[in-house]
Amino acid sequence: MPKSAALLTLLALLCGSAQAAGLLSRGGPQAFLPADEAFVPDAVGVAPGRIEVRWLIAPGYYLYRHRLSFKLADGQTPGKITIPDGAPYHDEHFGEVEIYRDELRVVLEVPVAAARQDLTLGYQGCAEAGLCYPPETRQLSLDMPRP
Amino acid sequence: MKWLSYVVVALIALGAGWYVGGLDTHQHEAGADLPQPAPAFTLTDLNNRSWRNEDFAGQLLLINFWATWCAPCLKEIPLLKEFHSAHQHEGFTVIGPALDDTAAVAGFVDKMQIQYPIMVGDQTLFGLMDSLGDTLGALPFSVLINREGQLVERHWGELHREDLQSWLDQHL
Repeated sequence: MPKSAALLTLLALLCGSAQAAGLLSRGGPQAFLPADEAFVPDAVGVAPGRIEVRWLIAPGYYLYRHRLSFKLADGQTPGKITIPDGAPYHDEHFGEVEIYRDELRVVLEVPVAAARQDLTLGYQGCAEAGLCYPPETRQLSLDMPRP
Repeated sequence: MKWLSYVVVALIALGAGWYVGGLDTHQHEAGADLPQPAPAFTLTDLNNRSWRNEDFAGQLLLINFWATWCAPCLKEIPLLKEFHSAHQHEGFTVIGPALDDTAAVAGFVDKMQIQYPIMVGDQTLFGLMDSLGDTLGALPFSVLINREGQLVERHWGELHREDLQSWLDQHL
C-alpha cells in the first residue's frame, strides 16, 4: 500500500505541476509565457574585452542557434564569438538545427579599451507545445572592467 | 495509516498545483469575452487583391496568422488546406496572414500549394492580432469568425484536427 500511495503522491505532484505550468490548458494564452519571460537575456563584462551573454530559458521553451546574432554599438561584430554546441533538433521544414534549453552562455571578445559596451542581441525561440515567438532584438549597455 | 498521509499529501499537492495554474487562467480567461463583433480589417494578398470583412459575409472564417520562421505554423498548414478544401462548399474559408517578407512567403506558398488566400504584412498584422484579442504576439494564432461576423474562438499554438473539428461542429 505505501508503494501505491507514494506513486499516487508523485502522480498528483506531476498533475499539479503540469496545471501550474499551463500544460493542461492547450490553446489558451495562459498555456504560454510572454516572450520576455520565456527568454531572459543578460550580459556582463567578465574581464577586459570579454563579455558573457546569458539567456535563462523557461522550462518547455528553446532558442535556435541559427537565430542568434551579436552586434556592437557601431554595427560591428565582436572579434570572436564562442557559442556552445546546442542539442541537435530535427525539424521537418528546417532540417537539422541546434537548440538550447534551460540556459545558454555565449562569450564575446570585444575591444579591450572600451569602458562601456552597447550590445544588440538577436534571438528567436519557441515553446515545445507548438508556439513560436518572432525574431527578437534586445539592446544592452554594460560597464566593462578596466584593463 | 501511513498510506493515508500519502493520500493527504497527494491531494494537497494536486490542489496547490491546480490553484497556482488556475491563477493565470483567471487573469486571461481565453474566451470569456467571446462572442464579440469581429474588428474590421483590410488585408492584401500575394496577388495584390484586397480582402475585407465584407468579402466573407455569411461564411465561417478562420484567420490563421503564421510565418515561414515558425515551425508549428508550417506543420498545421496541411491540415488547414484539407479543412478549407473539404468544407469550402459549406461556407468555411481559411485565410492566412503571414508576418513575414513577401519573397519567403511566396516561395513557401508555391511549395506547399496553398489554395486559400495568403496575405503578408508586419506591424499591421500585429495590430490586427491585437484587436482580435491576442496577448502574446506569437505564432501560430488563429481565430474563428462566424457567419454573423462575430469573433467566436481564439487559439494560440498549433491547431490539431480535434480543435478544428470541434470548431466546425459548433459553428458551421
